[in-house]
Amino acid sequence: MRSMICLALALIMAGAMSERVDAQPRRRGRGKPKAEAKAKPAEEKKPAKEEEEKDEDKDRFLAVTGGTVYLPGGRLGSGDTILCKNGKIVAIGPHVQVPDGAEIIDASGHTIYPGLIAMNTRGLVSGGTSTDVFSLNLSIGLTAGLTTVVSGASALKLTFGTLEDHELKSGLFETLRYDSSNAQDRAKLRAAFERGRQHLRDLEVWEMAKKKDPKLPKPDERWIRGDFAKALRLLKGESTALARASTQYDLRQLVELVQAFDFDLVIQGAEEGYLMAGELSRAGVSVIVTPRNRADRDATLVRDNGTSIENAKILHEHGVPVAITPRSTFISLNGLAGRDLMHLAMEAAFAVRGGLSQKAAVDAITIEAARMLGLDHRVGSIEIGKDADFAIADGDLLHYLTLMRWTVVNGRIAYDRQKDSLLDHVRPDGDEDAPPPNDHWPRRLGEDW
Amino acid sequence: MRVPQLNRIRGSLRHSALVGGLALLIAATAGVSPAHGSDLPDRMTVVRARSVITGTGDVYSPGMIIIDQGKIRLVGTGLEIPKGARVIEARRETVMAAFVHAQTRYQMPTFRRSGNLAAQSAADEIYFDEIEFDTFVQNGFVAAGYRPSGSGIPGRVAVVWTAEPSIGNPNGYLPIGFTNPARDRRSLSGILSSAKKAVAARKKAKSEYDAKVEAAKKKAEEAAKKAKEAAEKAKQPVKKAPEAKAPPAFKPPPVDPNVAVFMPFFDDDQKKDRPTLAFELGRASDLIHLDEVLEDYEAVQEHVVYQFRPSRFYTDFFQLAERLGERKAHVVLVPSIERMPYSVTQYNLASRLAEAGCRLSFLPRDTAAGFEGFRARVANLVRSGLDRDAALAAMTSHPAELLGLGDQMGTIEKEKAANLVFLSGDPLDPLSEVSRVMVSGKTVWERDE
Repeated sequence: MRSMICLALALIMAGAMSERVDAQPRRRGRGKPKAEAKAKPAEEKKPAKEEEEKDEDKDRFLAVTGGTVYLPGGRLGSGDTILCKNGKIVAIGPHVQVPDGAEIIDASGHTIYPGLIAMNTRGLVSGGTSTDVFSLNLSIGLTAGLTTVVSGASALKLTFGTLEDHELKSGLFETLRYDSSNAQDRAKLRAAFERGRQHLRDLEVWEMAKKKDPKLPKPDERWIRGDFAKALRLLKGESTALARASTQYDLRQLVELVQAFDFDLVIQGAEEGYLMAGELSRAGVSVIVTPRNRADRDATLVRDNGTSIENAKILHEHGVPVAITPRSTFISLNGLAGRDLMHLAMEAAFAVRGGLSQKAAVDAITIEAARMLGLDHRVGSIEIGKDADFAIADGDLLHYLTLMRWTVVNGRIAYDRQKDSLLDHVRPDGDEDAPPPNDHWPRRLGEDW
Repeated sequence: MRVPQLNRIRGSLRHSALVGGLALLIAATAGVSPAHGSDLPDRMTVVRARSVITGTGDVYSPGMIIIDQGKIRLVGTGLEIPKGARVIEARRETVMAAFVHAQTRYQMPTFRRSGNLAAQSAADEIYFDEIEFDTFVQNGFVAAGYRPSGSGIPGRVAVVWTAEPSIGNPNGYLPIGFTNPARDRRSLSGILSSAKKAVAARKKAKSEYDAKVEAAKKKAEEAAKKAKEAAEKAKQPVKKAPEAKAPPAFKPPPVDPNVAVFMPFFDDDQKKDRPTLAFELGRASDLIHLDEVLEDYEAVQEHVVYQFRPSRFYTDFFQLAERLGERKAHVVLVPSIERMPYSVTQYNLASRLAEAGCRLSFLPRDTAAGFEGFRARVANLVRSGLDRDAALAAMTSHPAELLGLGDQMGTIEKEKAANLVFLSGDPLDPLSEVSRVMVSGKTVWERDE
């Protein structure tokens, strides 16, 4: 009996270890992963496509081999190959067949993370219609592993040298101003929500009454403008709200608003969120925190206040979705004081210092951010069907010595540390005498120009 | 008795008669003999030079050019001199095709203008008395393209002959500013889509008109038939039916003339009227944005020339070299060594573009000193790696092509106009000077020793 239990356990564990990331449910004991079957149709299609004259019709393949892949759920799959076709991930697994003509990145010794997402930026991209795709700021962002940035009200990708698939989504959030500074504005907003809710009720009543009296006029909609329109969209669930709040008081006001009117809310800041984590969780709000924003406890106040390094950890433990953003929205501080977008990963590492798990910290700058933006079907994790955005690091993402070796956006290598001279002054092995790599651009050309 | 005065008078009369007669004879012969500096049109001219750079790849040293009626008949070495031909001995000189200035505003005032003024021409702005065209001729420039003042789409470039100042073609290529993608993308796509719609509207109106004409014709025929039948029945002679009123001539729907310039791109019957569009780019990213706008307009893509007009002291146009080389683009630029972004590292943009496969046109700076120093600047580029033939073509045949004179001049080939410049040494030697300039076989300027 015991041996049978042991055998069963062993089988279960074997099944668990051989699980691969794909749409299929777990199959115990099945040898071939589904990934191989998916690679074959791609290969068969390619010879047919090559007969076409136009280059645009040729499929563009990228394979990242040999590295350790950060899979959803925080597992690291070593020895997995990721195959991408036309900018989308099509296969992940140890036995993926790479078609001829594919661009291959040999990432042995490196870890492949999903491209990082910066929730609040300025100066990297300009709203899509006028982005300088060769700009220095964009290159620096790629150096830091960023692939998706939120600029203004849109989410855009750092597609170096091309505008293809540059824009992801515009009109991300409805900004709400609901803080303690102006009670009149808060009252107006609440009134707008009330009016909106009343309108929705009137619409329902009208729908029902219409069946008996088709000539009944629709409830007046001319007043739906500005704040009223915003409130109505939130009530209908068509968009997500974004509000800034630091103190418990402001957070509590927002929580009450959400509980009264039931809409999606993302709170930026939430420095004192750890003091009311349960309420935030029950209200269903998400937070974007900056772990290194510190303010001492004000001793003159009786109530609890001040920031805590354990903010992210406590919020996460209570089930509040947490995303992390650095203090500065710029990248062009060039690392000054380490508070800018180049140090997004370090910001997350500080949350780990406060007790957040490593997995939650990495998720905070990848998949959780994508979920808050409503883009988790495209970016945020390495899964089949999502965009091929990778930050290939030469170590653990949350380690201070780690640098990006390649950054891939939409299946194209947008940054290659060997070729770009931006970080040439950094010698990861500590070898000051090591010669700089040869083929530099854009800043140095080498001997032959 | 002899009156001595009379004798004297008679003597002086005879003397003056002799003198007068001699003067008349001299005057008569003077009318026949060639005036200083010009050739008789009916005589053949043969040029014998130390070196003839044809521009088609052949260099003849020593070389000979046989010119007849302003056109080049033969180029080569050791050719037979036809009887009665006038020989221009340039045994120590190098002869090449005369230079063309692709875009200038020499000695014309600048004034602000913006918006779409595509129907205008620089020809309206040129006052020939105010411009010293000698500066052009003395430096070998036989044709110049005058650009209208302003930004946006200021109007068509006027092709001007500098030797005997006159306007060769008031409707040359069309410069279009594209340095601010946020604004220019919208305006360009707006103009192109209006032009497309206008063509569709005109076609529709034409087909409606044609249908009306057909219907009117049919009606007239049927009326005539009926009248004939009625006349036959009544046994009366056929009354001549009244002449059907001719329908009024076709009036195409009115179109803004500045948009009408772009209509030929959407009408295959007007292929010849399609203007060349010279897009002025400020940075590499502008090309990426321009490509996105022109993606849907294939007819436009074939008539595009790029002009680099950087506004900063560094440029990132090297990023475009491969892209432009693939499409064998025509690029207009100033011959200078460029600097890489955010650095003082220099690079030779012209050689990169030429190696990638682009055709280049160089622009001198619009001052007398600029014209004089032009060849030296080009020489500097050749010294830093630019292909010599590409450099010479960028001064002669490519700008000629841009101004629509590619069939007439730009190289020393059979049947092309004999527009030649004689230099005292190698054209790229800064010490060599222009010694003679010939237009259609006629010397228009010669250096006095």
